[in-house]
Amino acid sequence: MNRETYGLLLKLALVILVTLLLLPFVPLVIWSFAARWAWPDLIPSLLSARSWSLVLDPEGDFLKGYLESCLTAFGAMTASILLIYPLARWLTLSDSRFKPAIEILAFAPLLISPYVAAMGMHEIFVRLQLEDTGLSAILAHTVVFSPYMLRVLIVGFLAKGERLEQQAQTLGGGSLFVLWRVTLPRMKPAIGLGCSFVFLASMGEYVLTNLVASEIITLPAVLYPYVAAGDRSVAAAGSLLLMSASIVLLILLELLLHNKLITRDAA
Amino acid sequence: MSLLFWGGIFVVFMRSLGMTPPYAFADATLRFYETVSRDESFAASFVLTARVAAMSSLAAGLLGSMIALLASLSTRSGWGIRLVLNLPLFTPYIVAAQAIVLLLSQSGLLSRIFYGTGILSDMMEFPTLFYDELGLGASLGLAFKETPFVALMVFPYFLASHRTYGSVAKTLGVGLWLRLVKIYLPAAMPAIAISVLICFTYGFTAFEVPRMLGRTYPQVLSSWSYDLYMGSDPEGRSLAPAIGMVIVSVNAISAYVFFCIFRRLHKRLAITRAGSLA
Repeated sequence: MNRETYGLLLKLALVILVTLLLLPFVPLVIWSFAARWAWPDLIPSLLSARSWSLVLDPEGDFLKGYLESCLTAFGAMTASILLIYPLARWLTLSDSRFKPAIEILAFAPLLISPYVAAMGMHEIFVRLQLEDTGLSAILAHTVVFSPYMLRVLIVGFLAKGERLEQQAQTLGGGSLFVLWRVTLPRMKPAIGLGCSFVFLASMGEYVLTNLVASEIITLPAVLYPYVAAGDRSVAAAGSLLLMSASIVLLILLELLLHNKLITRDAA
Repeated sequence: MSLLFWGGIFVVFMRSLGMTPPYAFADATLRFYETVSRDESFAASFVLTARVAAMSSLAAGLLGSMIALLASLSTRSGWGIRLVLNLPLFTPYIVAAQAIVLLLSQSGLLSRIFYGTGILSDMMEFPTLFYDELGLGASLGLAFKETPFVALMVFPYFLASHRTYGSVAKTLGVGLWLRLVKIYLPAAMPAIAISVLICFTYGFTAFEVPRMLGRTYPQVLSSWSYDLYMGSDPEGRSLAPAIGMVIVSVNAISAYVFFCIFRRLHKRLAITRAGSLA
């Protein structure tokens, strides 16, 4: 086998594997437009926009849930970046002997069941009289998803180094100036990545919200009964609505990171 | 923040011992653990949870590593692949479970295609993958989400080893198999192990996917515990924390292994970095 066919084979295998991962989205899209799609038809025998008009009804539960989800996710994202940024910076710079312990404590929500913690958190929220409020949902999401932010920011800080900051300080830049003009611009990709991780994870979360704030009806909570009841068409349309946020965010992120790559190459 | 998390775990732990605030150790009892462990569904549930977690994480580890390896061998920066992999990675669990059913169930798209091409003559000939006893459907659903995760985690290691030793060895005429065993796998192994471990933890605590794609009995532990917690039966409510603590203990064991591997990985990185500087 010569080198070219060999390389082609590798590429083919790669394409097949990746296509397999994308294949499940195909029926999802078709189903969202299907009114009747009996087995074994390859395409629906009756198309309709019923599911979409139900899902996109301005007065309907879906859009209300979507808004609720976005608010919670946005809250969790903002809280995470504000809390985690100083922590991540400290963890990359410090040589404190407490560092490993704090790392373990901070990363724990990635490795230990968030649902079990949520049961306990619910009780804490009841004590604080915060149960069933949007705030408790945001707090729970922040607790559970902020480790993603931490991980990404630490990698960002490590890759960035401290040299430019030191230079700026030597040249007389105040700490706010250094943060705004030197550190933040170079941390933009990491912050963007961290924010989208937290936002997307929070958007899709169902049980966590339900455990700490069952009154907050997020989009997954609206969607779940349709999925459980087997209303495939509405469930598919709702699923796509839920995914729309991820897709938009992915594109934004890609633009942000790609621009970054280009400017780096040009420099 | 982390205080809230650990506070939550602490409250559940105290509950599982039957203590209510103000916590007095005199009230501690192992009654709930006893009831849970005597419950016949516990063993079934535990085995199912472990099996789902193991099957999904191993499948994801294998597939994800394959994708990462192929991508590092055949693309320049893997930028496109990474972009494409982000889609299933960022898909919410509910949507992923839904999508995979629409593709792979007996009346799913794949079974229709098989019928259309004449491979199958009846819907029933398509294997029942979901709502099965073995947790195959749940594992499939989880693996669908976990595979891109593993691929993205492992890809940089494959790429780095290919760019350095791999391409040199290739130029010198070393075959793919030998390079795989001697160069690529050793370089990526700790990362693969870590990702599989994270997937195992995810699988063990997963809720939506096993609940939607599995049977109602036996359920996975987190789903069972959730039902008890949300249920109206006070006795059941008090059992939920005990089951929760079982999940947390298994998580703690994998977390310990995780940090052990993680430390070794960091040490090794430090050594190679020092070596390259010298």
